[in-house]
Amino acid sequence: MNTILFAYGRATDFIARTPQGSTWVVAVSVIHLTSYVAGLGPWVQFPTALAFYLTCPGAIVLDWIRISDLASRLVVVVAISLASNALIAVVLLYLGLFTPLTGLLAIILTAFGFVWSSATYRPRTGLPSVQPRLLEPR
Amino acid sequence: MREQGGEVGLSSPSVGEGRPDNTYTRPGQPIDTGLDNTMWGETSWAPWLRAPVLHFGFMILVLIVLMLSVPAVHPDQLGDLGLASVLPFTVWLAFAALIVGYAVATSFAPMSRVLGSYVAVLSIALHSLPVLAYQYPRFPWTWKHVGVVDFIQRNNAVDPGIHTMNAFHSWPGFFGLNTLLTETGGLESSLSYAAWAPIFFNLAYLGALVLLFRTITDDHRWVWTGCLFFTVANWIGQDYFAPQALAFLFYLTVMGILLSWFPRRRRGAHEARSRDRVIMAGLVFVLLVATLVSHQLTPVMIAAAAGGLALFRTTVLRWPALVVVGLLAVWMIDFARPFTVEYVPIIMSDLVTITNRLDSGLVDFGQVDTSQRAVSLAARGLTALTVVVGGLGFLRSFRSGVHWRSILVLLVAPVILVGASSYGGEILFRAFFFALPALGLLMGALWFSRVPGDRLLWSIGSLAGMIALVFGMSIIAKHGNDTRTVFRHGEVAAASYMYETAPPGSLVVQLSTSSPLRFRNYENLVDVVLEEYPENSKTRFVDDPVAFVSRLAVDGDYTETYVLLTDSQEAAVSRLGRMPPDTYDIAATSLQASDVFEVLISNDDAWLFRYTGPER
Repeated sequence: MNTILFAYGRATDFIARTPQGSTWVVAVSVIHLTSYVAGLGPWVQFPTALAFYLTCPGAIVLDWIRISDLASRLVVVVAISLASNALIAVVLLYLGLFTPLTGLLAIILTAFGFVWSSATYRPRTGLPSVQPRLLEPR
Repeated sequence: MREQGGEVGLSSPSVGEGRPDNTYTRPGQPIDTGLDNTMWGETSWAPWLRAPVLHFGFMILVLIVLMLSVPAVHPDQLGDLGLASVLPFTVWLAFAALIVGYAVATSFAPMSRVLGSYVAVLSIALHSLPVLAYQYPRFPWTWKHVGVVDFIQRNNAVDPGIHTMNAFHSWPGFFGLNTLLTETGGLESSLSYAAWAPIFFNLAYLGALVLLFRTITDDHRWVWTGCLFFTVANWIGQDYFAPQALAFLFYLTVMGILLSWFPRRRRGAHEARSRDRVIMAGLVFVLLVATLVSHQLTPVMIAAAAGGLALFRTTVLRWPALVVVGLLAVWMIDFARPFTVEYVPIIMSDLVTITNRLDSGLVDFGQVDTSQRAVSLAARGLTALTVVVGGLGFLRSFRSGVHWRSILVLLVAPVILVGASSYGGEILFRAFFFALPALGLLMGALWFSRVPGDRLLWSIGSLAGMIALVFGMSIIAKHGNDTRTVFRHGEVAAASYMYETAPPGSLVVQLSTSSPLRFRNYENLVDVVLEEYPENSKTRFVDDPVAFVSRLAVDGDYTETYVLLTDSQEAAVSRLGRMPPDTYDIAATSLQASDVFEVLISNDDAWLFRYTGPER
C-alpha cells in the first residue's frame, strides 16, 4: 500500500510540476486506458488510441529540449512516440508477452518512466520548459 | 517572437549554419522578397496580398471547392491515365489556385505560417482525394500489410519462419504498433484506417523536412518550397500503409537531428546545450533501433547517409552508422535468422548483376500497352525533371557560396542502395525516394537560394508554372496505374469470401498480384501468380486453363484449390503485357464451362472458382 501511495504521490507531483509533455502523457494515458477497458467502441477508442500512440511517450521531449518551430516539434514528438511504441511492441513479441493490454500497459509504464525522468531532472521551482529561443546574429 | 515579414525559425543550434553571410536574412531582419515598390507596392491590391487572413480564407475556399467536387469523381469510369481521367475540372482549378496562391505568397506574404499552411493544405488535398474517391485503399501491398496485422491480432505473435511474407514477421515493428492501435482502438481490422496512411505520413514528412532543411537556411520560402517540391514530385508511392513509410519518417528525423544538434562546429555557430545533445543522442538511438526492427532496407540507408555525414565532417555524431550496422547484423543473425538463411544467398548473388538491378523494376516499352507507356513516360520524365531542375538549383546556389555538403551527402548516399541489391526490382525507385528530400531542396534553390532581383512577375510565374508541371506529371505517374491498384467492391467481396472460408493448406491461383490479397487468415493459403511463371507455363495455362489448374491442385495435394480472377488482374496483365490480353476471358470462360470447377462468386468485378475434381 505504501508503494502505491508513494507512486500516486509521485505521479501527481509530476503532473503538478511538469505542465507540458508530462501532463499530456498522463491525461491521454488515463483517458485511453479507460476507454479501452470500458470498451467504449471505436468512435471513442480509436481517436484516443491515435492520440495516445502518436504522442506518448514522445511528448515528454517537449519538457526536455528546446524546439521552438512547431512543425519540427510535432515531428520529433510523433517520431519518438512511434519509435518507442514500435520498439515496445517488438520486445513484447520477442518475449512472447504480446497482447493489446500488455502493450498498452508497457507503453504507459515507459511513458511514466520518461515522466519520472523528466520530473526528477527539473529544479523544483519554476518550469522554464519550452521557451522559444531566438537565433543570435553571428 | 515574429519578425517583420517572417517568423523566427528553429531554435536548435545549427540553423542556417551553412549560409553565406551576405545572402540571407537573420531574425530581426525582414525577408527581402524582391518586391519592387515602384511596380507593385503602389497598387491598391498589393496590401491585400500581404494579409495572411486573405491567404487563409483563400485556402479554406479552395478546400470547400475540392470537397464539393469529390462526388463528381466516378472511380468506376477510370480511364487509361487513372485518377487524372476522372477528375472534374473544378478539382484541377482548385489545385491550380493553391499553386498560384503559394507562388504569390512567397513574394507577398512569405511568413512561415502562410507558406506552411499552403503546403500542408496541398498535401492533405492531394492525398485525401484518392481516399475520398475510392472505396478501398490503393495498392495490393496495403492489403498484404493489413494481413500481417491481422495475423498478429489472431495469434498475439509473429512467425519469422512462415511460408509467405516472412520478411514482415522478421521486421515486425510497424505491424506490432498497428496491431496495438487496431486492437485498443476498438477496430476489427487495420483496413479501417489504412487508406488514410498517406495523408498522415506526408504531413509527418513535412515536419521532418522542415527540421532538416532549416539546417541549411532559415529562409521560409526556400524551406517550404523544398517541402512543396518533395510533396508534389513524390510519385513513387512509398508513403502508404507500409513499414518503409514509417521507417522513412525515422530516417528523415534522424538526419534532421544529426544536422540540427550535432553539426560540425564552426566559428560563430551556436552550440547546443550539452544536456540537449545527450538527450538527442539518446533519441537518435531509439529511432535507429526502431528503424532496425521495422524495415530491412532503411537501416542500410541510414548507415550510408549517417556514415557519409560523418565521413565528410558535417556532423560530429559518428557512431550512428556503426551502431546501426552492428545492430542490423545481430538482428539478422538472431530474430530474422529464417529470412537471412533464405535470402542472403540471393542478395549475394545479386551483387554481381548490377545491370539486372538497373532495369529489373522498369517496364519494357516493347511489351506494355500504349496507356502504360504514357504513364511510365510521365514517371521517367518527372524523375528527369526533378534531377535537371535540382541540378540547376545546385548550380545557382553553389555560385552563391552555400555550404551544400550535407545535402549532397543525402543526395548521393541512396546510390549505394543501387549497388547493394535489386530489392525485388524496386531499388531504383527506393533510391529516388530517399534522394527526393535533397532534390526538393535543390529545386527550391533555383528560386530562393539567392536574394531575388526585381523580376517579381517572372519569379511568381515561373515558380507556379514549375510546381504545376511537376504536379500534373506526378498525378499521371502516381495515379496512372490506378486501374490495376485500386479495387472494386466485387473484387473485395470475392477475396473476402475466399479468405474467410478457405481451410488451412489451400491454394489460390491468380493471373497477377493486382488483387486484394492476403488481408485475412493469409497463412491458410498459398498463392500461385501466373504472370510470374515462365513463358511456357503461361502458354500452357492459356491453352487449357482447366487442365493447368487441375494439375496444380492434384500435384500440390492442397486442401482446397481456388482460382480468383478480378478486373484489376485483367488490367495488370494486359497493360503490362505479361500475358496475352484475352487471358482473363479465356480463363473465366473455360473454368465456368468445366465440370471440375465450381463457381463460388460471380459479379461484375470478379470470379471465384473452386476445384471440385478428383484428388490425387
